[in-house]
Amino acid sequence: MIFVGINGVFRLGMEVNLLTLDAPSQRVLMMGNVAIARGAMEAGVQVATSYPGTPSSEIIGSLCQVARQAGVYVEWSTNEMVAFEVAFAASLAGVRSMMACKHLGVNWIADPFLVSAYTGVNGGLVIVVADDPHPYSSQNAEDTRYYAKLAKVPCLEPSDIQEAKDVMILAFELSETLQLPVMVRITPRIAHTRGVVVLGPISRLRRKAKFEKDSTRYVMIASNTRNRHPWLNKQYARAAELAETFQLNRLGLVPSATVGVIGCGLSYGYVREALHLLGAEDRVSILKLVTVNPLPTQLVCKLLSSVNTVLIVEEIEPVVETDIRSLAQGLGLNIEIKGRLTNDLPREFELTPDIVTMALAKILNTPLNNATPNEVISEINDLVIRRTPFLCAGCPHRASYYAIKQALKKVNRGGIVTGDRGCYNQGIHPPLKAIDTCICMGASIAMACGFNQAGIEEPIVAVIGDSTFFHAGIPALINAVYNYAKVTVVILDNGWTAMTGHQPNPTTGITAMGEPTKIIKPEDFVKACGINHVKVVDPYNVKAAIDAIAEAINHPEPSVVVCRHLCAIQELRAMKLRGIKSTPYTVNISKCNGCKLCLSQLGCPATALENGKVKIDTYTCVGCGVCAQVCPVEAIEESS
Amino acid sequence: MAKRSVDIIISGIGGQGVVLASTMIGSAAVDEGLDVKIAETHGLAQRGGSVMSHVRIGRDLFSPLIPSGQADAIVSFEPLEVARYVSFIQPVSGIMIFNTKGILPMPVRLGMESYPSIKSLITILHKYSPRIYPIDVDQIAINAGNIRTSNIVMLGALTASIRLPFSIESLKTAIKKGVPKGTEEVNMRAFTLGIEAMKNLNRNYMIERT
Repeated sequence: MIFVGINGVFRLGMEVNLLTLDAPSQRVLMMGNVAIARGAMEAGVQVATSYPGTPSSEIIGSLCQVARQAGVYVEWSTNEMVAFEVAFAASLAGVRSMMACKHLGVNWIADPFLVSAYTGVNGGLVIVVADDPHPYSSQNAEDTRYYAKLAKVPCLEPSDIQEAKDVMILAFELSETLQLPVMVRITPRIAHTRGVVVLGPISRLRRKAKFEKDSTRYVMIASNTRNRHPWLNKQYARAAELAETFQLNRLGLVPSATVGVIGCGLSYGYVREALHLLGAEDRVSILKLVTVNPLPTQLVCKLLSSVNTVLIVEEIEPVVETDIRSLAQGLGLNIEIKGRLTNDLPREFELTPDIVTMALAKILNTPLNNATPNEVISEINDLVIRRTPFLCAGCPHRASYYAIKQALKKVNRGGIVTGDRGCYNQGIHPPLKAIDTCICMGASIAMACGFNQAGIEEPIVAVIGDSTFFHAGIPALINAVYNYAKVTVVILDNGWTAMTGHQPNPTTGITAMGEPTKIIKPEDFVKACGINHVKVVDPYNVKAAIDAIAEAINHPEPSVVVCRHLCAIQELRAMKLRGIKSTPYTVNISKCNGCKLCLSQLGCPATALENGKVKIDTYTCVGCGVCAQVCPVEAIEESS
Repeated sequence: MAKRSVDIIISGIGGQGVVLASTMIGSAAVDEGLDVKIAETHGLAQRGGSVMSHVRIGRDLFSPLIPSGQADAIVSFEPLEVARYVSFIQPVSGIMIFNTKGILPMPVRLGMESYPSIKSLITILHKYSPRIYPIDVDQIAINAGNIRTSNIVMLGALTASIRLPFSIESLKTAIKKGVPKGTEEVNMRAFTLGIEAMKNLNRNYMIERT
């Protein structure tokens, strides 16, 4: 059964059916994230976990659509750390398991991940991490390969969509050979690229879970850890040996070449493209590197010792480049090593074929043409207006932000709003401009505590979504109560993890696999954390929301308001299923005084300025009625 | 350097069907044994952002991203979104097809900035390539029977403007497979009307040139 419209499946269409298509050697078009899921199916994965995060979400999002029929257990966990630990335990019980997340999720799993390298694993354990070099949808552009180095585990980077599938099978095998977790690192240009994949057979492997107790391995007290550290170092050295013959690495030596290039993962495609554009394919030796950590030193040396100059092309940080510098120094090789450290490649943003072409043109001393004159480029830049993302028409978060701003106005003591991660960070854009901070999952509440403890006397309001609250908000809320922080927390409960493509979460009432489950209400936790003042309101009722938030701000203790209304997109889908149509609103021109408050306070995409007055696009309007409540002259009415 | 692939940029706003249209081209190409790469940028697509995909068709493709100045065509579902990606177009010979119906960015809705005129847009696009085809795609889609078929109208227009390395029949099959059940007929009508619109434009274009 396909649950249309959730788990990011809107973007995937019927592609998820390819996950169970048992047609070896058939060529299909697949998104990279789905190819990874397919690879896991071909490897016989039995447990797959994740917390959604762009650009990784479709990996587990597609798997959970076929989980039941395929006999795979799939879950959206409450956070990445939980996801990792669930998959890790499954691996200890002998079954193949995987965990997927975006780069920031690795910060959350760091603790158990780094220890799992000491215990080792039993069933293959693969961690798929989607980094975001640009970044397109993240709060930083960290390079998670450093975590693989930190943990001393292998890291593999597929170079195209076919390899995204194939590398999963190899990663599970490698994990079991070494008894180490294996990291597979991708970027949006794998995750969200569709390419041709030749299918392999789906594994029928289903192991019976069995946990064989061994306290020397699984009870990581210091004395046991001391025994495992040498073991880990031995396995890590073995990983480097196995990398020498890893089948996806490829060395293409050109006998007369004085220049060599190492293309790591996807970058290899850019290197090939650049050399083709420069007509220099027969002048350069290339190493395609999939085993980016640890390096296959002998293979790399074959390239290094055959050329005078080598360019290392990799996404984000000079991870491989630094290793190669160290390797060349150790071997006393007299070779010029170029890359990000030498500014032959930029230190920020994602790579493109253009960037790699320019770097290679310089090294090869090949002229480049076709450059667009700068004045034409600036003309275009002046013309093209940026499309700042916004909250959807009828989004309940818009109403909540309006209510928070009005409540702070009412209390009239200034105010700081600490934000969090989710759709609602679009509240930064005009005209709402409603949040003052947005750092990481759960930071809203803890930072609010910090501002208060530092002595800020203005009201401090933390804004956090339902999924983020369960992910990381609860410990911070307990901290607020325990340490007497006078903060007001507004929980925006729309019942879904909407930002990443509508994954269900503890407030939704269904699991990743579509089974009904208990709805967990944030306010129950709030009370259990020791908060005495908690109110639940519907933000579509603007006055009630303003009053509730103002009252909470004025309350002497830490206080919570839950703004609960179903995500507007989900509400529309539910109405459509039941054959109900929403009633859009219109502006009654005879009553409208042209104050534009509805537009300037809310910025709903269903409204726009037309000839000095606001017009509502009835096609986009979902009929939430919030603007009608904001209008001071009652000029916004339900259309007949 | 011979061009190894047919490269098309498809752009628009979240929800306009950019990804679906790209995938239909991709499926048609895969069905005929070709190599395909479609790189999509849709970070915040559902929330009014710009969406674009690089569609590359050929044999043994390398990069999923099209290098600057290499795109044979830009197909845009919105006027601003053709300008945003114009640096990809092949100078002089590249084709730019776009829907003339503008979708206002938030700064324009708020009255903070103004939306450029189609005329000023075309003047600048001309500096990259003269082969510019503005089409009232929404009207054609309405004529076909459903405004939601506008992305299929664009696909029709595309097939009439450049030589795709696969048969139109394969594309039609991919479209029929990709659209919601029961809408195959209206989509086929939209596809044909798109082809006709492009042929008419091309005729006028030839007249203008002579």
